Amino acid sequence: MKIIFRVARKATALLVLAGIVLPAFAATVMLQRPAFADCQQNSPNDGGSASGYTWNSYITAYMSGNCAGSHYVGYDYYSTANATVWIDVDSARVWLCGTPLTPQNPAAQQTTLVYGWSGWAGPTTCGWQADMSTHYWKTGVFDDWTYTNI
Amino acid sequence: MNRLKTLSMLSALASLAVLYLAGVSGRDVAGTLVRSFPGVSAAAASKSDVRGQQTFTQEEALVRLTAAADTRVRETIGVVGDGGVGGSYASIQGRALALSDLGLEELRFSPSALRVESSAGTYAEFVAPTDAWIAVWTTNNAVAPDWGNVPIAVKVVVVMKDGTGEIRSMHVMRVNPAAEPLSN
Repeated sequence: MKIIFRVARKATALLVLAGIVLPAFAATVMLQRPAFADCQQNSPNDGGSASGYTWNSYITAYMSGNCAGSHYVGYDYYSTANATVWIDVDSARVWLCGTPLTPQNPAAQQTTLVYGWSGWAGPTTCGWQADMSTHYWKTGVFDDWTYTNI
Repeated sequence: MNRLKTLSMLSALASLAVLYLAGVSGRDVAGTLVRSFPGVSAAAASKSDVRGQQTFTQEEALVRLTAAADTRVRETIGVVGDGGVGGSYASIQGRALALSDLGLEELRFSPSALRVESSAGTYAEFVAPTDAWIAVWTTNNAVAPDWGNVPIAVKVVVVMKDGTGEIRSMHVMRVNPAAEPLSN
């Protein structure tokens, strides 16, 4: 009888462990970013120049599973400039199935390089939409409010 | 035994949470894509679109480009009270600048473009060939209140996908032409 109890306890413990670890493991696997060659969409690489200063920004959206069937989605946003140009990312927004995903704003203010990864969202069979508004500025020289959209 | 019960409950809760999260997202099937820029509706956009061929007439394209530019100017350089001294980033005759103060300098269609450049010094590079419209508005009659009312050039650029009306890129710029250029 004791042996049966021991086996039962061990089996229960294993099931409990599997219940906690396996979903976490699955989530970890799904959170890996796909390779560049995987299904993706890009906003324009959007840039400008004035008085010798240059800047640009873009968003890249990734979808697992070659954009077919149930998939996960995530996006990169990137803004950079030369010299001492300040960058404010006013908003970087993404919608999935028409619903805004949170967090919507990377809240990057007065920096010189902005790069971020949204993390994965899903699973879903929907398409999605993303855009970014960035303000590049050099006091007394120029301001550029840019908008780029996938 | 109590500990085991607790773990079992935690496990069940964790699994339920995972299933719930998957289910919540999974229910959002076949949702509607949102056009992200206000005033630019995907539903209002549809026309049959063949790549390399112009779908919108010049007039249709200009109406859409102007609507987007007007909204963007109001959100950025035309914001009253957000530009420091004088209350705006650019003013004309003592009031905040609006798109109607600018003149249309450029309007063109670029079929199957991988890169479009504007006369304002901006560009948009596409990953795939894109039929794009580009419009540029400018004025040299504005001043920057927060820069001591120095004369500035204001430039507005909008790049739109032909056929769908999606706004792919926009710039609203103010440039001080007297500023010393960056020396490398």
